Parts: sequence; C-alpha cells; structure tokens
Amino acid sequence: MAAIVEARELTKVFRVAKDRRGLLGALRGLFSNEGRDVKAVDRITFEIAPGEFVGYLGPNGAGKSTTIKMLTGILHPTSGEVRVEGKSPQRSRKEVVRRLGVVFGQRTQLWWDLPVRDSFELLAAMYQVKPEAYQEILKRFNEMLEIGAFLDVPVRKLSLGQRMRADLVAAWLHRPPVVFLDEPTIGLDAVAKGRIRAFLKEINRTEGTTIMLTTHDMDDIEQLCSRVIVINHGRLIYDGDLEGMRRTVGAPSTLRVEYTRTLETAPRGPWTVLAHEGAAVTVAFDRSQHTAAAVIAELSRYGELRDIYMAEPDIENVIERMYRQVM
Amino acid sequence: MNALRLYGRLAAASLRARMQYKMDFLMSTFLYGMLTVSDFLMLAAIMLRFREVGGWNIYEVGLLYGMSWIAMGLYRTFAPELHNFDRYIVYGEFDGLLVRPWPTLLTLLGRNFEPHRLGAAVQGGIILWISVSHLTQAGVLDGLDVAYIVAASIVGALIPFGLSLFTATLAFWVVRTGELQPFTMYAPVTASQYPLTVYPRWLRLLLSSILPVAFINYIPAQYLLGKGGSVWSLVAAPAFGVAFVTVAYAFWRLGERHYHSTGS
Repeated sequence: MAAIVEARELTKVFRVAKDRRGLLGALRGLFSNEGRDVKAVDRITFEIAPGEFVGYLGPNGAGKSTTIKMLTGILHPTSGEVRVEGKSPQRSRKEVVRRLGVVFGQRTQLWWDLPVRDSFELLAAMYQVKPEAYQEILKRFNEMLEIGAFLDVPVRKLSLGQRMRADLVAAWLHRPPVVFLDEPTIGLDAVAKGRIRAFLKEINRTEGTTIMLTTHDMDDIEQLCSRVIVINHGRLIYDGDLEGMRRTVGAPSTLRVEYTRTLETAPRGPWTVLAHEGAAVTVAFDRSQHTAAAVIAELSRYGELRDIYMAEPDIENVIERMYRQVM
Repeated sequence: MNALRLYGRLAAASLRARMQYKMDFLMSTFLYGMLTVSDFLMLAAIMLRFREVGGWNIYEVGLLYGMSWIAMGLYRTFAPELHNFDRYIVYGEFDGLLVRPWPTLLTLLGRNFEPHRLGAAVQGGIILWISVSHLTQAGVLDGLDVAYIVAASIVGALIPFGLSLFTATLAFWVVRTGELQPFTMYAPVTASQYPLTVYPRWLRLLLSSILPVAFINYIPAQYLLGKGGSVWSLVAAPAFGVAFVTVAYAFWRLGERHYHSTGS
C-alpha cells in the first residue's frame, strides 16, 4: 500500500548565533554573522501507511516538533523530502493542509472569545464542509466526547479537558485523512486522558484516520500506538512496535516473589536484587538471557515461594535506556 | 466560500458575542470614542488660540482630523490581530495560521474583529460632519466633494493598514515590534491631523512617501479646498493606498518565507 506520510532523508539545520559574553561581546555580535549550525533533524526516513496509529517519541529537544512542523508545512526542510498523500507540504501548502488535522496540545486554535459552536462553524466554512456533513459529525462526536454540554460556552471559559476535547473535534470536522497530535493529553487528569484515548482509538478504527502522536506520556503509547518511532538528537533510533522496542533495548523484567519464611540474605543468581524486605524479594533480570521460568526455579532454591508477581519493563525505563544508547 | 464571505461570517460571530453584553459593548464604544476625541480637544485648543494653522482654519483642520480618524478607526476595527501581530511570533501562534488552507494574512484577520473601535471612527465622523457643514455653508465644498470625502475616508483605511502590515512583517525578523508602532503608526497618523504645511520640508516628504499618511486626507483635501494640488490628487489618494498595501503584502510574503526557513 502506498505510504500516506513519507519522510526521506529529512534534514533541518538551524543557524544559531554564536553565544557572546558581556556587553562588548553582544555589541560585536550585532555586526558579525558568525554562528554555528545545529542539526535539529538529521536524515530521518520513515513511511506511514494509511490507517496507522504511530507514536513519535523523543526527549525534549530531540527534534520531534521540528519534524512535525516540516510534515505540516510550517517549516521548510534544509534537505530531504516530505510527502503527505504524495504532495509536498512546502510546495503545495494550502492543498496539503486542507486534508490535514493538527492539534497543538499547548495552544488552542479555537477563537478565544467566541462560543465553541462558533469556532466549529467558522472552521466548517473555512474547510467548506457541507452542512449535512457538519451536523452529522457534530452529533457523532458529541456522543463520543460529550461536547454538547459546552457548545455555547466561550473557549476562554473552558477547563483544560473541555478545551482539549473541543480542539480534537475541531481537527476532525473536515474529516482529514491524516491528523497530527502534539501532546494532546498534557496536563489532563486521568479521567480526561482516558476519555480522549478512547476517542482516538475509536476514531482511528472507524474513520481509518492516519494518526501521528507526539507524546511524553507512556500510557498514551501503550494504549494507542501500534508503532513507535523514537528520535534523539535529531536522529531516528527506533522504528517498530513496542514489544520489539523492549527487546531491542534489553530492558530488564522485574519479578517480585514472597517466600513463606523471611530470608536472611538476598538470593544470588542471574539477576540484580532491587529490594529485599524480610520475606519479599524484588529482582531484575534480562529476559533475552533467561526465561522467567528459569529465574523462578532458581529463586525457589532459596526457600518455598508463596507468591509471584511479574512486571513488564517500564516503558519510561526502556525509553531512557534507549536515549542513552550510543548510536 | 470566498474570502469576503468568510470574513463576513467571522465579523457576524464576533458581533454576536459582544452584543451578548450589551451595556459593556456600548460603554466600550463610547469610552473609546471619548479616549480618541481627546486628540481633538488638543487640536481645538490650538486652533482657538491661533485661529489658523499653516493657512488652514479650524473647519479645514477638522476635515483633516475627521478623515484621519475614520480611516484609523476602521483599520483598528477590522485589523486588531495585525495591530498586535508580534504576539503570534512570540507565542508561536503563527504556526496555527500556517495549518489553515487560506493565505495567512486572511486567516490572521479572521481571528478577531473589534466593533467597539468604531467609536473612534464615530467621533471622527462627528467632527467631520461639523467641519463639512460649515465648509459647504461657506460655499467652499459642494455635494460631490462631500461624497468624495466620505469615500476617501473609508478607502483611507488602506494607509494605516499598509503601515501596520509593514510593521507587523518586521516581527518575522525582529520579533517584538510593539515598540516600533509609535514611530510607524501612531505618530504619523497623529501628524496627519494637521495640514502638512506646518511641518518642515523633510517631514512633509516623509509623510508623503515612506509613512504616506498624507494620502489619507491632506493630498485630496488640499485640492478640494482650493489650496493646491490638481484633480489628479483625487485619483492619487486611493491609487496610492492600493499600491501601498500591495507592496506591503509582498513584503509580508517575504517574511513568511523567512519564517519557513527559520521558525520562531
């Protein structure tokens, strides 16, 4: 199937003014053109197929926002290619953008002083959405996100959760085939996050919208994304599924066991002891080296086991290890 | 859906939203009118003391004042987001304009509409009416002249709009342009309330070229009042307004290109 979003050797170099000290330095800085080049995005290549739900991860300053900005036509790449539905967002901005939805988590794109409904109607006019289509989508989204309650409230009076829901509806009004979400769950409470995740999952399933999600929230990734692209220092360091990511990094699995009797000394074996409190011992081991069964068998040589608890490698942990890896 | 209709919908929505607080809206309009009429009070004080300024009497100066404020009031009503554009660069809101399938300037203007600023145009209109009444009674102006004056005052809004567009475009390079506005907007427009004859040559030149506020009122008024110029002055004013905005828009597009390459 043809890719709906493509990046090929995508690169963005910014020229940063040389850091100057002192007043004299600052004055000199006004008259010189010296600076250094910073590669915010370095030859990133990926292809996204229609209907995929992709997570785009990276630490702050990794180049995530810069990549998204090039995909949406906000920035022009220094070199490399970007294509959305086969077209260049740089050369055909208005054409491409007409079929895109974008949500910036930190800022709203709605009209601040107007009721939510007015923002929707203005956007429907802007994207030439037919009245029947507009009514239908409003009804559907109301069912999923319950926005009916605050349609007549000015945007500036909405809570963060309400505003986020309104921004999501706004992004989907013209039924774009591709939507970019930049930190959509940031700052929200657990209930609000859950509601939005359910909505995104549903929409991806029923509308077939291709979604690219930038986030720091690991639960977002776990619950929504079938595929994860990780970038760091502008370079792509992983592109695949979550399970593969865990395996690649060799992140330790955690195992907690409870013995029937208190152990004097911590058990020794192919693991690292993370905690030892009386009869309870928590160990971390490398799954690619030893099976969980083998580790449990080994642990039971130190006493009778009463209870066992296994935890998957914490995604946060996986990501951190990945960032620290030398590529 | 063409641009004008889209803007019309926004204006209607904005008006509806503000009308919800009727008293508030009426008060704001009135207060803004009062605030701006303070300019006239200063002018009147000078006129009453000096009878004539640069060879123009109080009604002739009132004509200049009225035209200038109608133009300015209209600009402030329809282009508040352009007036405060540097905010879009400082807070990264320009990105939001780039993801809409319309020219960024249009999307920008469509973000807000401030009907209470018409208060300035209203007070200018009142002063204009009083001045024009006296001048027609004195036989200096006829009906056709008055029709032209009203049209020119409205079209004159293109000049402050162009000045604002140039100033706002600088934000793509300089970021904070609020500090520039007193020089590129407020001072020149205030200066246009008086006949250019009171200013030294270099200033007259400046106000008819780089900061072309003379084309809002002085240049056509000069001819209509029989103080100079030619019939071409009547054509020059609106023509210059259109040309000025066209050049400013080209500059804006240049700024946009710069933004695409450097971000905010």
